[in-house]
Amino acid sequence: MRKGSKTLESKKITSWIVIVVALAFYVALAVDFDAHTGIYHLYRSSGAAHVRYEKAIVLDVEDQELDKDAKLGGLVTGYQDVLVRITSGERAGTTTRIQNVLNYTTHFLLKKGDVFIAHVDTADAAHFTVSVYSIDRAPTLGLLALLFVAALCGVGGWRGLRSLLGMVFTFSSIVFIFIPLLYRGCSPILASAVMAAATVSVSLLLLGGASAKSFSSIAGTFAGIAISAGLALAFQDLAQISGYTTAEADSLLAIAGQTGMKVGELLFATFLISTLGAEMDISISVASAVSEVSAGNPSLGRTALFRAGMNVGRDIMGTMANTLILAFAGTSLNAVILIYSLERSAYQILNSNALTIELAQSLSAGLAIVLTVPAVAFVAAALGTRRTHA
Amino acid sequence: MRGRFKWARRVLVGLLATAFVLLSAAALAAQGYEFSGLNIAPGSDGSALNFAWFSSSSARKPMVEVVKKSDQKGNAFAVVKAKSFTGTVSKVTATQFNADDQKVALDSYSNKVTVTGLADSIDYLYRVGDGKLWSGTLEFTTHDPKSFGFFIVGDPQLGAKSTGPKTLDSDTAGWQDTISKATAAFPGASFLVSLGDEVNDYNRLATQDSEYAAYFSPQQLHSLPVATVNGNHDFQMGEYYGFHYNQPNLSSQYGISYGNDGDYWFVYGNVLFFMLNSNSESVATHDVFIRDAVAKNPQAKWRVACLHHSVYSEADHYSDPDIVDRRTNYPPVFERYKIDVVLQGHDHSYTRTLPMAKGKPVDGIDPKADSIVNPAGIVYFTFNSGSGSKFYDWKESTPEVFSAMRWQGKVPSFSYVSVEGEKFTVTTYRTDDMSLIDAYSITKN
Repeated sequence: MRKGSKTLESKKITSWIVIVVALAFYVALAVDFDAHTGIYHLYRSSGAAHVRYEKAIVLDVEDQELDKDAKLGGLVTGYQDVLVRITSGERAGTTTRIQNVLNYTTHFLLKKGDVFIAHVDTADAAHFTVSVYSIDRAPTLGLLALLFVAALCGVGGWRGLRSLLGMVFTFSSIVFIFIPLLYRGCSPILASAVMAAATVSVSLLLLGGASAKSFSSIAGTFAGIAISAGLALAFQDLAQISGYTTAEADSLLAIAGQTGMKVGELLFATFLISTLGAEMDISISVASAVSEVSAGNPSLGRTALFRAGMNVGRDIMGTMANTLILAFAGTSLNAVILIYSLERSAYQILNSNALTIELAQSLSAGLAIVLTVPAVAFVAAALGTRRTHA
Repeated sequence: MRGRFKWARRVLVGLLATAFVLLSAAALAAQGYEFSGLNIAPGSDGSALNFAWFSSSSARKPMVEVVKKSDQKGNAFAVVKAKSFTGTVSKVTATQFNADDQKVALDSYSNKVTVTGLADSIDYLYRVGDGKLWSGTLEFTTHDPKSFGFFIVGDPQLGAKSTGPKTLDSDTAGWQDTISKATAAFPGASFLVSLGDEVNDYNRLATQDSEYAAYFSPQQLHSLPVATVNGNHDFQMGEYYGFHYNQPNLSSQYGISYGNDGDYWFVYGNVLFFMLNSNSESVATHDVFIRDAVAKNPQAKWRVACLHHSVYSEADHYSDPDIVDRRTNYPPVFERYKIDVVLQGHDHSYTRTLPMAKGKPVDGIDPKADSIVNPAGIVYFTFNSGSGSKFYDWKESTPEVFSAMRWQGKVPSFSYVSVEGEKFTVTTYRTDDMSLIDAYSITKN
């Protein structure tokens, strides 16, 4: 018994090592792939001119004239004359005097000893200018990330760590493989479908291991992806929205001219990716519920398990409608405030490029999520009964 | 005897006929110089003009002959009294990135000739050619730089086809209409400032070529000098942009994207113009360029910077990441060299800012005022489309804090600036009914 659990333990550790090594190998490959994709920088400087962002430290604030805005709390405007030293890059060690301007675009109040990110703009060997880009935000973001990881592992234990590995996989897939594929002119429809399938499989398998729960949630999510793909293709065509009607289209077209990127299909990819998380979410919830019910009462048949899955799914669906509206209101809060002040007519609001895209995205996401429920409940019930009867 | 004479007469008639045919062919050929895209840029100062055009041959050096209209008698070009100027010719090249598109072979040559020693307020006749073959007789008029006016247009972007009937022809018609209404209203204007995105297509040479033809199509541009800046739609065919224009004091070192498209400056009257290629990410490069130009022209009363990418405007591009960077990085340079007015495009809408200093409107300025004396900040103008090929909506419903006046009538517009010593007045007109959109004057004393 004791010996058995020990081998199980060492087996577990070995499989962990395999997973981590495989993931590290994958990330290294992804980074390498990314490094070999040509990036077209629209505004790259030529000749001797170049722009770098480097670390710098405030040696002294020599003079300042600051105004606290009476009406807008916390907004300080004015300027500071500061002595700074660049501490990284080709001009590391250079000490220079700069003016830190505080206005509506940039407002970083500096004090002696502050570390900040400097915009170092070089015209040629003899001439360069330095300005404040921002305070160094990396430590703050790092702290936030650390708290997140600690909470994830503290509450989630091993499973928390596994979901973290899933996140690493998803993130590196998007940044180092998916985006470079788009740059290489790969169809965004194809690339996002493949990326979605890989991300879903890896994250859900990492989370649930090779179990019926994992397989049924993967199958459910695949069904969801297929539904959102169909909806995206149909409704983007009906509403005549595409990558060409997004606000960034002009710049994207400039890049497309030099790289072959398929701008029109990009909107499809945004539909697919933004729904993916919610689809995984509802799939794992329903699959997990079915697996718990099945474990608690192994004698239950397929119909009873399906019904249990549907019941859990219906509850989640109930809050899903609200979630979608809240997510839309949350991310578009500023835009909604501005639309409100404009007293725009319903025709104008409903037919603007931006809002049509937002609404179409939210509604088709909702539709895909709702239709995922019966799909995942069906697969989970089938796999659940097969397992108990075996 | 008689037969012999008859024979000689036949020979004589034959010879005369041959000579006549040859001479008329030569006369026809002399008029038959083939060229395209002829345009004139302002010279380094008011006494010079810079000519550029494309030809299909580089066999001989390009020439411009200029004569005062008063010296002209009859129809033939007064060659004897004309002054000749010889320039340079070079093979046109372009960077064509996209392997998917069929690459177009370039068989054009870029001709650039600088004409100097022009007197003020004179009607001139000129012709361009290669010394053997010539164009027909064309004309331009110089003006008095002590009190002068010039036009401004934002992005003509011929071929954008975003509004109205979606054809290059309709864009071209809008552009020709703007030029003809502007020159009819202000026949004494010295030149036109065109703030980038003269053409639209990013990377298909044949398409861009037809857009250049459309841009140069108004006949008035054979007389009215045009100072262009390089926009994001112009520079993506690489060095192709630079071959079209003969820009004075062009820097091969600062503000370059592809080598022949750097910053340039010129002086007209008491105004020093900095024509910046804002496609270059580096702003330090413009800093050095402006510093050097100021050092060479300390006497200029007014300093005007022209660039494509508007840093303070209200429409579509307002929150683009690259524009946000420019909003942070350009104004300190403009303030360092005490620039008075900044003229910009890119946003296909009209915006005039309050006088701006250190990223904020100067305190205590009435936004409704139509004039200001000795402002303690820089006024930034953004100009709407000169052709009507594309318009952008406001990014936000309420005007930005920097904004004193904004207009989006979705009608082509142009501006006329009059510079009379201490007074710099910008008036902006919509071309459909020629009504005034905005008038603002700055006095410096």
